[in-house]
Amino acid sequence: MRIIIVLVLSNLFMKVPFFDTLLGKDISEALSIGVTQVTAMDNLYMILEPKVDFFGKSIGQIGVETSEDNTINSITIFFPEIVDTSYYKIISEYYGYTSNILVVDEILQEESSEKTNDENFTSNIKERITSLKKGSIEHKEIDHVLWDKDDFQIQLHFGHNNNRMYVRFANKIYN
Amino acid sequence: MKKLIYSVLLIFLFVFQSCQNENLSEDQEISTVAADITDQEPNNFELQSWTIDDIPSLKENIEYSIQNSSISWGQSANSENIVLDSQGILQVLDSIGNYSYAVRMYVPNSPYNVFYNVVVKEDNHGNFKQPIVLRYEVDESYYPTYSSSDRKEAPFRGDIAYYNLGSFASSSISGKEAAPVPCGSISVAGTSGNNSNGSSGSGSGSGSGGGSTSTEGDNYTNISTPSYVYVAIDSAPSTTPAPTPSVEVGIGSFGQFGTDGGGGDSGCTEGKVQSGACKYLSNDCPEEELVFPINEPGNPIFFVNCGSFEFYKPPGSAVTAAAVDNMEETFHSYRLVNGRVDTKEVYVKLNRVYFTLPSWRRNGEASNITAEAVTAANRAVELWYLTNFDATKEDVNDTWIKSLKAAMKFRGGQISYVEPFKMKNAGIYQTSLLTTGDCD
Repeated sequence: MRIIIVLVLSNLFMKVPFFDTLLGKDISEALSIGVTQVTAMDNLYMILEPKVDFFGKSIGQIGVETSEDNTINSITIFFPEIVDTSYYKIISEYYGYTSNILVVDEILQEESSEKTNDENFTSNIKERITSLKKGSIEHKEIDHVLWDKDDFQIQLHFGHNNNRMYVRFANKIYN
Repeated sequence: MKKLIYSVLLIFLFVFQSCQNENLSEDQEISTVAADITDQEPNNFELQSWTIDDIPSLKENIEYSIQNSSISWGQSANSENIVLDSQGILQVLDSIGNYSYAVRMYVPNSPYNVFYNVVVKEDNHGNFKQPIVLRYEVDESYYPTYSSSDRKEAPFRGDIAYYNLGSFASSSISGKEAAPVPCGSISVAGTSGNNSNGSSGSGSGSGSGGGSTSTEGDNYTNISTPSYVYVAIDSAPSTTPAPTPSVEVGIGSFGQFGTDGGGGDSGCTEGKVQSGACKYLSNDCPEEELVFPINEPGNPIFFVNCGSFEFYKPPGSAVTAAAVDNMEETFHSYRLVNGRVDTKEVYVKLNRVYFTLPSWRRNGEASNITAEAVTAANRAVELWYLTNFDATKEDVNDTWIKSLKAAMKFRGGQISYVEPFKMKNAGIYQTSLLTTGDCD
């Protein structure tokens, strides 16, 4: 009996993620999460010092992308650290398990160049296109996991290649 | 056959050495460590990852040492108190049957090149030894290599200070990097190249900061585990283990272990024994010989660190400024083509740039503000590119510069390729764990 009460209470107090519910809503509904910074790009906002977490993980920053009418197209939550792949299991307990686990396959194209822009900033630039294939969560070169829900998608990106771990909610993840 | 004879001989030597341990001289002890290293071929290690709930006796042992302190279990750092990571606990089983556990410990406001582990040894009789805090400080100049490389190529190099967990807990201050006087410190030279044969990066160092000392028994050697050592992901041995990035395994002899006939193996006499675990009541310094995995915090690392931006202002200048060389970031995007998902990565390295902020900003404050600005700008470009797969790499470069300018402007500053006044030095672009750091 005591165990049941504890379980009920822990469910009551569990922070249910709400980011997916913000998709399609007005940007104003997301701005109260933290301090908003307007970016250089149209329809893109960064929320600093967010007051929420995601399945027990603290969040570094939240990026919100809107359409022209200020409705939210995507929400991306950046974590301040790489989390263990066991975090996939925690998320799956809520959103369901998925077979869309994408790992690095082969390099399709690579090129590099140097550039000096109009303001005389000089850069070295490299570009690489890599194909992905389905794999296992234990794969060393896992790129991301995709949950395809009825009306939105969730991407858990592991950031091994570009030092950024994030979860992204959007109607459509891929271009 | 030769191998078999050699193994039997080594086992005999080990048993003989154990019996004679109390009479060992210091030189003999160091050579014993070397012999153990020869024994401890990397493929004799078994490395696994657990959550703290999987190992209740370890939890009980650690909690005994941190009782009445503000240290708590969690899954990530916070800015107020020390957190022990309940996930990703590394366990190494050596060939003698001893286990060592390394728990990540997050200490608020630690420098970007510092991380902590709580290490506990469980001997082959199931007795837990005194929990030790290890503070790893990576050499600053080596940090960019360390943070971006596999451990086989870039083993730890820097200082390892060690503490008794109980005294560390009692002297920790909320919101600050705890700085009790360490029991000792070992300076590790590190080695480049493949360390899988157990090549040594050892030595008794001169100690680092905070009045640390090096004791006669201190010793450290590393073995970077090869890719055929596996880490189980789901708190249980994986049936289809996959290779993971190498984990560096250290072999350390801390304090006067073995040099005075005392040491870790006799430590239980100071406390009481309960459920097979030693309960240390005193704040004595650890004396222990350990094989321990180095449990690095989230890696790779995310935040641009304020240490990248060394602001200064000459007399009369309206601005304080910092020069930075080789700022580099990678951005990526995705596309779906005929059912196949492709990812495009664009790497951009900016040559020297200058950041400026009004001169009324303190230099340290300016460093903090710039680190926040650059981190936010990087995130914004990442987001933008996620929905712009067809953007060229030159577009990504221009958008990054545009985003950096906007982020600095938002904070009352600028980024420019023009030197605002004669600058002495340019900083090295650094990223950092958990936060942008505090340079003020």
